[in-house]
Amino acid sequence: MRHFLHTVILLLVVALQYTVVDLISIRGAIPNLVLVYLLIIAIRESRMVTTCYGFAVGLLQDFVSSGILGLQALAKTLCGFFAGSLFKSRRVLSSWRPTVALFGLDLLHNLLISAVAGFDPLRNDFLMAFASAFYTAAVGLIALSFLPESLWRHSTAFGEEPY
Amino acid sequence: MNSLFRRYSFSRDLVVFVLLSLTALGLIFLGNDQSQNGAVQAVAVDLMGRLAAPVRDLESLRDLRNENGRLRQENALLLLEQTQLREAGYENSRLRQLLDLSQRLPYDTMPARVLGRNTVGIHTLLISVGRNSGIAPNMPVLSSLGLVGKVLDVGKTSSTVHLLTDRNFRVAVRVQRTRVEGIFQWSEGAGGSLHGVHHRASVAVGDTIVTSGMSSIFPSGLLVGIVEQIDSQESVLFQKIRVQPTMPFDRLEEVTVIRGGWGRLSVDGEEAKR
Repeated sequence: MRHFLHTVILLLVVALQYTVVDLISIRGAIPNLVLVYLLIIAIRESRMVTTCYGFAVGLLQDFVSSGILGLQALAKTLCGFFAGSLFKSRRVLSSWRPTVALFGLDLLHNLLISAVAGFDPLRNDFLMAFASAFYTAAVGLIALSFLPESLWRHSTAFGEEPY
Repeated sequence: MNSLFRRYSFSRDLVVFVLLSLTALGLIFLGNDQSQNGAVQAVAVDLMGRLAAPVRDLESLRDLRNENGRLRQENALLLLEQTQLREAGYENSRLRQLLDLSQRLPYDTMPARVLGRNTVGIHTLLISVGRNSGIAPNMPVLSSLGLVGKVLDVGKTSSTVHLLTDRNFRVAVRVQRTRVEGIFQWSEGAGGSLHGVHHRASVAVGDTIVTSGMSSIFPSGLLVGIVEQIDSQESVLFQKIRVQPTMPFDRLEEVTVIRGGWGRLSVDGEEAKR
């Protein structure tokens, strides 16, 4: 049931990522909502599950964006694995740790995509990667502050032991 | 036991991670053939399209609201522009009439803009010409529709005009058709009236009243008004004649001041014009 819920929410988040996010872009920097939800999955689920979700959602984004097939899948798989490793213990004491993790993950994600797709010196990809990561972290902080704690603090809420 | 479980778990996760990463890399290097991915891509895009549609609807609703606001603003601006253009058109028309009047009159005239009006106490107008333009007290002021009044006070660049509609204003007039003479005077409530006309004098409703020229201020033949009502009784020496001024005094915007020249008109009109 919860996997169905994660799948539906991820689909909606991808839809939001391709529709609404452009509207809230700040000088080209956009938040990565998919990564925010992947982090919530990482807090709630196991590392392997998060890695799989990362791959699946990345592949979906690859197909939807018509970019280099596999690039988003690779980046999200990496992010899923690292996020899963960071929150392996499932004990999140505050929303700061996920926020910092989001910043690092999105930076990694953006730099990897820029590296494979080719850096565009005119666009200043490095600065944009930092700006987007910062924005994603801010959105993540807001999201984690407003979402009910039971939704993201302990995976046992779903009645499953992590390992 | 716990350590063993954790090691197993990490190995399992690592294997999954490596496998998925390799798959992704494989897709990057081998799977970018559009002809093969076309069908899957179409399904993915279709799915996203369906999911994004409600969001797009909301977005378009917001756009509609923004556009509505923008159009309202644009509409207001266009209305303002239209009003200004219409105003400019009317002004153009009035100025043409005034220019036409100035060209028709055999006097030395000076056009002026009405800057303000006072209808409390003495009825006056403030106009945009003064001593610098050669304006002096008692100069007649008229518009394309007839006599307006006379200059009362003169400043450097503006003057006050004593209006025909002030109760202290009097002007010698005559009925244009029958040459019967009288005094035009305005009284509050009753409006314009012609005084001093004998009850046997020939005056009819609709007759035109013009200045008689029997004064040193106004030249003859300036339109003052139209006879509107006559009350003539044998027992009363003078007729009560109501005169409707031809001028909409509350809507005056441009006037012409006659600076002089009519004194010599009777001798030589052309000379006066020069």
